[in-house]
Amino acid sequence: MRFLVSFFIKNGIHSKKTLWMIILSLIPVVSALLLWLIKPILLKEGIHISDLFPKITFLFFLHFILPVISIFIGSAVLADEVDERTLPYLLVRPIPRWSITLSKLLSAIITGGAIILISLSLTYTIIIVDGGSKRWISDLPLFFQCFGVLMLGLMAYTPLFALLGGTLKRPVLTGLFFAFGWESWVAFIPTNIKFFTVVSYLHRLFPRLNQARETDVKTMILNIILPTKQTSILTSLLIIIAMSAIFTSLCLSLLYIKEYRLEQS
Amino acid sequence: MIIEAKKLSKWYGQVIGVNNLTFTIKPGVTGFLGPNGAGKTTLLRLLTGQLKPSKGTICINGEKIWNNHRIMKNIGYCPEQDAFWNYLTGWDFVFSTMRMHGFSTDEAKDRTKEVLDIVDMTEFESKRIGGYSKGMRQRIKLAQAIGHDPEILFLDEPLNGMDPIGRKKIIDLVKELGTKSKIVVVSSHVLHEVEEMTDTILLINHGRLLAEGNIYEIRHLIDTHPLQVTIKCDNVNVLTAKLMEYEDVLSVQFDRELNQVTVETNQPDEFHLRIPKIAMENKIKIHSLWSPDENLEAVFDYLVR
Repeated sequence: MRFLVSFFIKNGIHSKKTLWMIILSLIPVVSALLLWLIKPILLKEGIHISDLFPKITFLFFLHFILPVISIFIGSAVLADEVDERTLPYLLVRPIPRWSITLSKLLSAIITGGAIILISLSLTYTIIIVDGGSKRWISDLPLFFQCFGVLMLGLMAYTPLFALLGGTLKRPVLTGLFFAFGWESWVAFIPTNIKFFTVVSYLHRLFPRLNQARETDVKTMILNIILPTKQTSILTSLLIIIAMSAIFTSLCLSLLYIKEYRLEQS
Repeated sequence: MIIEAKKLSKWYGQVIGVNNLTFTIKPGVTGFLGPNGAGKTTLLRLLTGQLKPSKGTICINGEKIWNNHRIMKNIGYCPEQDAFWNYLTGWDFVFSTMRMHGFSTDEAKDRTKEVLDIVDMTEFESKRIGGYSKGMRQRIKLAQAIGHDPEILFLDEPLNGMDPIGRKKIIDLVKELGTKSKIVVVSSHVLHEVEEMTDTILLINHGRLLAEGNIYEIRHLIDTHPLQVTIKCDNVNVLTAKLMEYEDVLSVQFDRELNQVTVETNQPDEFHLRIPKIAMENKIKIHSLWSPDENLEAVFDYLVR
């Protein structure tokens, strides 16, 4: 299986989709650079850009880079081999079908994780350097917490979008609708409906965000009008892990149940 | 080793891929013969466990094939579709498939070297598959299918787009494998090709088994129908002129833009033997040679009637 994972990572590196992902992942880096350039103006307003790292990560990574990367690499997990008609080379080997899917999922998560890690590291360096080298070191736990949440998100979203890719004809469109429609809006509605989103649990795990949101006046008023329960951090973590396991299991069983009729040349 | 299909059917919605097939395949070379769209590829996909039968059973040594990865250790499959991970070199492609078959790095290296030599691809092993000619791609597909020395080999239209020398080499290889107590199943829509490899055939059309057994009986029927052969070469004018000298050539059509000539002959055996000779004597480079299946379709119509 180790060979399969490395083989699929190599495949992923050579795909055009990965190149686009890398380009997209530079958006927060460029944004951080722009913030760095307007640093004197922000300082006059009493804003230290080194304090903005969690917000940038929340806005750019959790709500943009993570879903986009998950959609593109996730939907390609099974669909790529079908579209490229290379699936027979994998199916006629003495390897269990679940092992093929799992290797593809792992390679997708590793590739996506690497892209996020590089982009997040660059953003962190640009933003935190403002606070000096001591700040750079003292905020490292924050960096790893943010990265950890993003990785959890990747582990939940990738098999979900792989499932869409293996069953639907237009998985990217459906994925975009899900990520930027359902996930983006429902997660902010202060009712229990938000528990049907992945991102609401990621919000709960996101560092320095919960504190701020709980004291937010608007949220407090909304919570009085439309009361909502809050899951604990541990529960949120367990739910994310459970979601990842369920989506992965469904994805692994797909190759067992579904047969792919490849177009003849 | 034995392959057994009992009342095997496969349909996709309203479309029937194969219909109620019952047959047994024993060691040696067996040809699946039928025009394009006859159901040969569907049948090979069922035999290699890529598709699940809608009805009936298909077994290798009594074991069902669908979702049975253990059985794949003994199976080699050369698909018809011209699809690859194009960024890989020929060596990487074959090596990767050997590793997927469970061989260690060293074993996979040895097998890759050996099999690339067998299919005459050693010279081009470091070149990317994306830059290969059609014939080279066919050979590299064959290499991944035979590299692990399988007991059962399924080849889907293996001679498509190959030059005469390449075809001869593949035909000899298939025949050789058939003598080693292995099961080799070759699908083709060209009777002449199958005839060169085996005399045992399954004749398939519209998903149904029309005939099973000796090719010569079928051959006799097809002899009454002229065979169409299309040749792509670098000197269409000379080749056309030379071909017209022979009595068995009933008609010749040539296309200068495509550099190809289509000939109708009523003596396909002599015709195929003659082509390499003409090419060598007149220094004509033949890029590809194939037979459109309209003639075969006519024979099938005749058989069905």
